[in-house]
Amino acid sequence: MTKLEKLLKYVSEHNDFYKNRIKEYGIKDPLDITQWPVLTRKELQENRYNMFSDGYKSKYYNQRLRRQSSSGSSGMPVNVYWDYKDWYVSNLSVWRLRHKWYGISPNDKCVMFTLNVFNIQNDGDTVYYLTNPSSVLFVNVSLIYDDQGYIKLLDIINEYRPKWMYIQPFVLNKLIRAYKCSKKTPPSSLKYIESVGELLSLELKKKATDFFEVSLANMYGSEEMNSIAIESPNGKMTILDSNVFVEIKTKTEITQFGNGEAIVTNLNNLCQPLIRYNQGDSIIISNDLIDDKTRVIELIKGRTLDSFIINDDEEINSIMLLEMMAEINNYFPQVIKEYNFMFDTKKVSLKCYLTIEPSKKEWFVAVKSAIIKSFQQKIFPLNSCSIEVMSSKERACLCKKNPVLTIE
Amino acid sequence: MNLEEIKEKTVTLCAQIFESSGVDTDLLEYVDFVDDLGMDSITFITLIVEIEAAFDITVPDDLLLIENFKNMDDVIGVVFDQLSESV
Repeated sequence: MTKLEKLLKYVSEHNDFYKNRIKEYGIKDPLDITQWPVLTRKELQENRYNMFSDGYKSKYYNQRLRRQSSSGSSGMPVNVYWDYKDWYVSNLSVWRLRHKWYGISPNDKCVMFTLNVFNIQNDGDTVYYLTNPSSVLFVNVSLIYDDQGYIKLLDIINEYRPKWMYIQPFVLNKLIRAYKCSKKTPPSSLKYIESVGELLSLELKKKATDFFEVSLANMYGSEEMNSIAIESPNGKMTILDSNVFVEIKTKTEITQFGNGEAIVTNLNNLCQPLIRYNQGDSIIISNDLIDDKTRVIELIKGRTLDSFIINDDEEINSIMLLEMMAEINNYFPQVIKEYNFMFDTKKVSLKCYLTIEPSKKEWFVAVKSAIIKSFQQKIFPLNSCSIEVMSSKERACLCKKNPVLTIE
Repeated sequence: MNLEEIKEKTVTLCAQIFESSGVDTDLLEYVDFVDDLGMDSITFITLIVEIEAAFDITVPDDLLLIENFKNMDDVIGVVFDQLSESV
């Protein structure tokens, strides 16, 4: 029996949520993954306390589970609970490869960039947090507003002497710019950089490799799943098949290769199993296998293609908007249920449509004002692009009155 | 590899992993990694990754609990068992 079949057998016998799904969807053979329905983010949010397998609810009440929370960059944060044993197994799949390919161990000093708010040490304008024991230096980049903030951060990084960095591409770009502007040099201790969040463009990868002169790899993962794939030294985004089973949802079917939405099953989380979870990313899985068995992600399109250029050189991309919205979500936790951005090329205006949690409708005005302020301060300080924020309800009314406004 | 060689190599590895705790290498085999040296989840995963690489073994999923790696004897036992199985 494969690890996937063992998991499916387990949930069909020990998890009420999935037992109900078997009945509801008329699943005849629970060990056949193709018979299971896709689990949406909304279903996960709505059922997060109903998805514990037998025996885990008491561990939850006794606070003996590990909680992983998404940053909220794509809406309301999602919580997933893990038994510690399963969490270790899940993490080991990526650590084995990091160690083998890049010589990095979990207790090597790391700088980890995050958009999440945490209890802070404030050194002037730069906000950071050192774990104890001091193997991870967390830096909250959503609180660094300008190049000066990044330049100041360099001294902290250089003094800390990390062996590796876990970093989003847009932060990496800003960091390189800060090093170049300040004529400072990266710490000699640095041996490896891992890019997370979005795939590095080839251009940025080359720029970073040339500048830092260290190994650099993309990692694709999520708080719900832990690591899904990591780039090998020969540039292949290798799926971690001891941790996840990845499928592709096209317009017509769910397959194991091709182009579509990533549907991911975690093979290790027995506490709150995620079977065929729609990760919300658009990816391509190559037909080529490594060693005739390991699958490779050819491209993670995600939101990286959602960018547009204004005045020939000013770009708004999804990463910038994600960063902005992550910060807004941190300030207004569990208020925004969903958001969409649309760009109106004629008016050079960005429209942001918000769906607010029904019980928190009174927060709309404050959230709207925060988004406008953040956009004007951080993304387009020169006002070359305006932003309009409206609720999904207002949007629906406008579309009804004047269908021309349905620019999407 | 005999038990003595496994022990020697494991002590060297653990001495590196727990270096920051300041424990004397000679005392390593008498301490509890969790209670005395404060082994946390990061250190635990480090221990597993390092022993797997050093001995070319894979620790089975069902053994991956901190409780199974609380002291030097535990670690040596797991390594010995996995090496024996691979033979």
